[in-house]
Amino acid sequence: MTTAVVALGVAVLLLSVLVAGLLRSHAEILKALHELGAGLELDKDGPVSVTIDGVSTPRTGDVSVPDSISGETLDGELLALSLLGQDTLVAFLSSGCSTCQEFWTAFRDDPPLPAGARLVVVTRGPGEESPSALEKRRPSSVPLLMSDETWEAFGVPGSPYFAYVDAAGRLVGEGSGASWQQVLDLLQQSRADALRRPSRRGPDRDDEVLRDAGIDRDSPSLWEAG
Amino acid sequence: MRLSGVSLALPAGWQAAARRNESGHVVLHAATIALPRSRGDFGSDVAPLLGADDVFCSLFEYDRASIETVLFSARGLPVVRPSDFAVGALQRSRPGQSGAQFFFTQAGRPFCLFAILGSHGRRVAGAARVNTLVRGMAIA
Repeated sequence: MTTAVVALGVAVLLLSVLVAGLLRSHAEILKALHELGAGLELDKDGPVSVTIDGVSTPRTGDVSVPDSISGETLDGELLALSLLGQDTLVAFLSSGCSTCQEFWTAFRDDPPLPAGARLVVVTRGPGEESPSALEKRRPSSVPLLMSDETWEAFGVPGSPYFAYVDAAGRLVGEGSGASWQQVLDLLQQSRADALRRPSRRGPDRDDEVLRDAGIDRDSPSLWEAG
Repeated sequence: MRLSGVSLALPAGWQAAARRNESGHVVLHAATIALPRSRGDFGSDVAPLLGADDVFCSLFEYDRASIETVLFSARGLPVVRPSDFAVGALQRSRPGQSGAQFFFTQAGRPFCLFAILGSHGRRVAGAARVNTLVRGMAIA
């Protein structure tokens, strides 16, 4: 009886040490993630703003994004898409990120998008992604690119992450969310904000081009009948 | 995009896909619409999806032994004219659509550029769009 009690006590002690060790290691991991800035508060309600390189609010307006993106497809092709001429929602996802699974599922069934917009999914390149895992998740009607260059060009901090580029190539909004509905809300908010901002690629830019060509608002050539 | 010495600066509003076929030759497709996964070498699966203002192009590389043939005697990437397009040039004729093909040799490599216009009636604008694409191509 005494032996059993002692053995049980030793077992409880060992388990206590083990649990304490696990808790300590978990705390260290959380602390390290926080220091790396990877702690996105994805469980909050509503869109979440993300800090990128010390910028506390999502970048908008004159942020430079590429005119086109390219990468490898799961079929082994190189695919390039122009971001000009049509609004594009670029979804940066990973096969292994748990929050991304909701989006992989949502994208299988032609998800609702803002009018006239298209959706493109971009993952890390084949060196950092699992093509076989992506194959199980790939949406049938949405282009999927594997491209480290695109992640770097957009300064993506982690997945899931979304960037909305309008037809003029402006970054209208970017951020993350835990659900497709949150991302749609974020999109709606970004597009509404963009309408209130002056555009460098809009009328102001046109005026600049005309001025560079020696044509100003009073130039007779603008008003003469052809 | 760049693949096996063929590079393309993508014009605004275009999408392009490139691969090497079973023979190791380059097949490059470009269109003003989203490219479907299954396309056929010369866009037979893309043509039904083209709108009136849309354009599809296929750049298809042939075996180097073909260089000596008369078919590939033209040198350099083609400049496309509206009059090059014909309704009967399509593999499968579709109402309103037309096509044109150009065989040429560039950098010692034989190619065919095949273009489909969504509307033969708008071939002036369509040919201009094809030329915009071709100007962004380089073959080494």
